[in-house]
Amino acid sequence: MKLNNYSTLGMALVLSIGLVFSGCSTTKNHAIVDKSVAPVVKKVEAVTPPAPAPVPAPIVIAEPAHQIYFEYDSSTLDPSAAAILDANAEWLVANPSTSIMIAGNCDERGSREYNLALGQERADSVKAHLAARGITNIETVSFGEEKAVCEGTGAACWAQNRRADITIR
Amino acid sequence: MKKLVLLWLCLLAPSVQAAQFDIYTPEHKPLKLAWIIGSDIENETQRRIIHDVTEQDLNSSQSFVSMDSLSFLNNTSEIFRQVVYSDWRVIGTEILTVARLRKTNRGWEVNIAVHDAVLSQLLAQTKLHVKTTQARRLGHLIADFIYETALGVKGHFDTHILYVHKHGKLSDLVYIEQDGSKRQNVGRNFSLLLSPDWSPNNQLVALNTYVDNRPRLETFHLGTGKRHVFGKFSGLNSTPEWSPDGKYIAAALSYTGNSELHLYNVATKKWRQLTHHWAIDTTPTWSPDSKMIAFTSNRSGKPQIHRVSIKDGLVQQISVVGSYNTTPSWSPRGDRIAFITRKKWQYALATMRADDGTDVRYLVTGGRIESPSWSPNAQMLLFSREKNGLRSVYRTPSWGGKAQAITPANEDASDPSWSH
Repeated sequence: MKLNNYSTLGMALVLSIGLVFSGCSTTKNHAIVDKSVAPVVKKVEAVTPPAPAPVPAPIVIAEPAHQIYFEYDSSTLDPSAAAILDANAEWLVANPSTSIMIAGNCDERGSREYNLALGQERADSVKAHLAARGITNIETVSFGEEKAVCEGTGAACWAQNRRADITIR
Repeated sequence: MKKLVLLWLCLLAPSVQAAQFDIYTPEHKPLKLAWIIGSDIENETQRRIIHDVTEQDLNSSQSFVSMDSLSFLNNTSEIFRQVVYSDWRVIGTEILTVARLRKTNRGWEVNIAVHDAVLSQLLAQTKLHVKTTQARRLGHLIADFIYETALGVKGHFDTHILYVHKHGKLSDLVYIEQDGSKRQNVGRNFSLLLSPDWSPNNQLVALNTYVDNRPRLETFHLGTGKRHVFGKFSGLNSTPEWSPDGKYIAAALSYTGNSELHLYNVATKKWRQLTHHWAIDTTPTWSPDSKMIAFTSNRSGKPQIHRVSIKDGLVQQISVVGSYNTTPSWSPRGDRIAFITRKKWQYALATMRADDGTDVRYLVTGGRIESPSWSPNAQMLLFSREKNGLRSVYRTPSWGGKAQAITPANEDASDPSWSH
């Protein structure tokens, strides 16, 4: 299961706005990281819409990237990572009821246990940057090298795995 | 044509990596062992099982090499009547062991005598019993007796190993005899399972698992399968390690802001912070007297092995060779620390002196090597090695020798831990 992100949240918001006009309600989309647990997304009750109402123009939601990448054996945020996080902070300030989970990850090189601590340091580094911009409701977790998005080997693959994922809880 | 050859050589050259480690070669030579066990004909099947288990155990230690019985000058009945040392010396025997198996009302009984063929003397003899169902175990107990008699070091053959078998997204906790036999899945379908560690009495296992994507520390009872959570802090909850005196479990937690070592008091169920530094501190391993902990820390800029005193929290760096040293495991004898080192993306299992980090011996290299764990007599080391995406558990003598896989070739196996 792919991790939910802001794009799915954005789609859910657009959907819910559309449904308000047709008299239905929907649930908030949950971000489920645990791959052993099925996502809890309730189905919207099907009702016959009354006479067609005027459809509002789609609302464009600013969608910051939700993945931050790191150098090898480092949890330092480079300027591009900081810029992505600033955009996230702005979005989160505009959505104050949202709480997030930051998951730190590492490439396969080095000790697994050390990488677990390094992944936590990456997640904490992202958390500190957001907290400094007034964001609360942040939880962190490290998966070390246990949840690689790229299962192969080589520099390009490792670069994808040295990351922190921000997901909506 | 010459140009083609040159081009081929140029293309080949960058892919050939120089070996980064001089693998330690022991001066020690294995003792030549003549091993004879006799029984009545109706017990021949069990006699053969016991003979083979003992032989494989002693050969696997690489401290012995068993001699082919075809080279023996005496037949079994002559051997049981009288030991003629010169007949054994002439074929090169150093240790001669003669045993007789009997079935009794209580189970299996063996009378065993260990001789030094070079010095022409009986070293020790004893009688061992096991239940009827424990013929293999008797083989291990005989191997322990021969090992200790000949070498003066307790054997490690009647012990067990735990490891993690990952299948898809789930992991099992697997229990085997030290030779890889009698495999049992004792804990199934953990969402993630890392760093299992035996309690000193071998009844409980401390481990790191994840539930709902949050890490926690648990104990797992090997007899009942009962799980108990003892650490569930925000952030990291990792690398639990039982103190040899059984009073504490050390672990790396990050709820204070970064990864620090903390101690869980088993009696009071309270935690206290042991290290205080902005750097990563992780993978604690106890000295045999439970007074010190060695651990990985990048406080000097790169991961290195350090040690901390439990009493006053004073920290000293131990490893002095190399720029990436992790995952220490303190020998049960106390004199050496095993660890994983890396040079130019090659990994090695190594040991060094525990007091000053000198006398580094590189034991095994090739593939991704992780998770060293000592046998209780400090003579062997377990580790995991990944090759082509599949991990296996290996053992190798801690004083140098060949590495042998002990887990099935088609099964992912990692995080080995040897019982006490």
